[in-house]
Amino acid sequence: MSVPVAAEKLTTIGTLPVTNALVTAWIVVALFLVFAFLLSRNRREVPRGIQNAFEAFTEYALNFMDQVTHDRARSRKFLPIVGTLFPLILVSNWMGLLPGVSTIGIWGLVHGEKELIPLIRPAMSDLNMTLALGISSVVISHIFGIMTLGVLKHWGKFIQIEGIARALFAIIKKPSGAAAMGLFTALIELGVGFIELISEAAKMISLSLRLFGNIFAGEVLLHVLSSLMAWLMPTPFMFMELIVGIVQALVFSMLTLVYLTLATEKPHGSEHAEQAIGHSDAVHATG
Amino acid sequence: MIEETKQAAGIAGALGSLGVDGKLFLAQLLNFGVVLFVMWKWVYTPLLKVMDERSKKIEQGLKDATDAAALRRSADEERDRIVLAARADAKQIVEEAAVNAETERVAATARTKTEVERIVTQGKERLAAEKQTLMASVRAEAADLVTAVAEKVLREKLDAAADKKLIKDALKDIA
Repeated sequence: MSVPVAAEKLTTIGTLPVTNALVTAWIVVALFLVFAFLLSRNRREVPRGIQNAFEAFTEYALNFMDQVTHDRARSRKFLPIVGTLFPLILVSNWMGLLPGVSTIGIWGLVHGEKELIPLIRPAMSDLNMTLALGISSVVISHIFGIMTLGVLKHWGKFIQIEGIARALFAIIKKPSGAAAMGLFTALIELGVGFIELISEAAKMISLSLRLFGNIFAGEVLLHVLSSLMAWLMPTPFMFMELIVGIVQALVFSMLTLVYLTLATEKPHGSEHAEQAIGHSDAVHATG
Repeated sequence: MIEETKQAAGIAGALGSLGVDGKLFLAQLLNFGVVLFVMWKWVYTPLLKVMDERSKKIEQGLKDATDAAALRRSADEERDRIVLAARADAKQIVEEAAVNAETERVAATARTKTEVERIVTQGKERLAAEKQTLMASVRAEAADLVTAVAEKVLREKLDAAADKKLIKDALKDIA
């Protein structure tokens, strides 16, 4: 008995293969819909109950985001994205620890062997889900970048032809050592721009693989421990998975926030955003 | 397991072996999109609006409270000032009244004294006048009485004129 890397297919609707991770994702989506419905139905001037709790969360999130963006207006703009990613990932991760997840299932034939196919599998232990999140967050950061800086300026960060043109112009006007040096620098910047472009793709992959890897590994760990000794043995590891769940949710949303901040930053002025990135990587390293 | 992986790699490449599937990817993308849209449209946007309005209202409330406190303080000061002024006025009025009363009393006493003196003097004068009148009438009465007595005694000896002269002399002596 083992946990396959890919989510197991339960059935097919039309041409869509319905996997157990997709079922979990639907449950999570339904939870969020119910939550949003409850919140919008009972919106009061004097908050109480879930509205009060969620307002506290929102306020805290905004203050936390200010540490990265250094700008309340931008924090507010990014709040819906970061404030959706964090609870979505957190709820999905913690849901994977509920009893019944990965243990209640149907017996089916997998590669000619009779195996238990769980009905519910943590949504984030499916690479499709994390890829969807990772690609979305990077794409959204580019959309924000374009909306803030304009198409040319935003893509100019990656394809730095403008610098080359300027350097060439300087050489034509007055050929000198300094102008040649300028051209050299511009060429390097062009190369850096392409590397940046590749790193944008790497961001998508690293975001999704990190989340997938952590949650999937936790799932495998719990599974293996449970099959070794089901009584009490997995309990400490479940506590650890609780922490991993919140840390990964935090890392994913903070990195997304950093990408958003970087993308909306003007070119040549991104020092402190890079500091922020270093900070987030430190967070990740500890996670 | 290795066989499986090789098989999967043969079919859909490395990503396929990790379970990546176009349709599933799109389905999960849709899931995330739905949650993002719902959270953005029906949770965060209205919530931030409500929170902004509330903090604006609280700020206004605090400002109003400060204003009200300042207003009350100035009203208190105004009241104290008025009370003090009224007290000073009252004191002045009482003092003036006391002075007036004293003056009045002194004047009244003096008037009464004069009046009494005048009445006493008048009484004395009238008494003196009365006395004189009385004396005159007594004198006349006595003269008549003496005349009558003398007439009766000396009827024959003296004539009226000598008689009168005699009496007058006699009365002169008496007086």
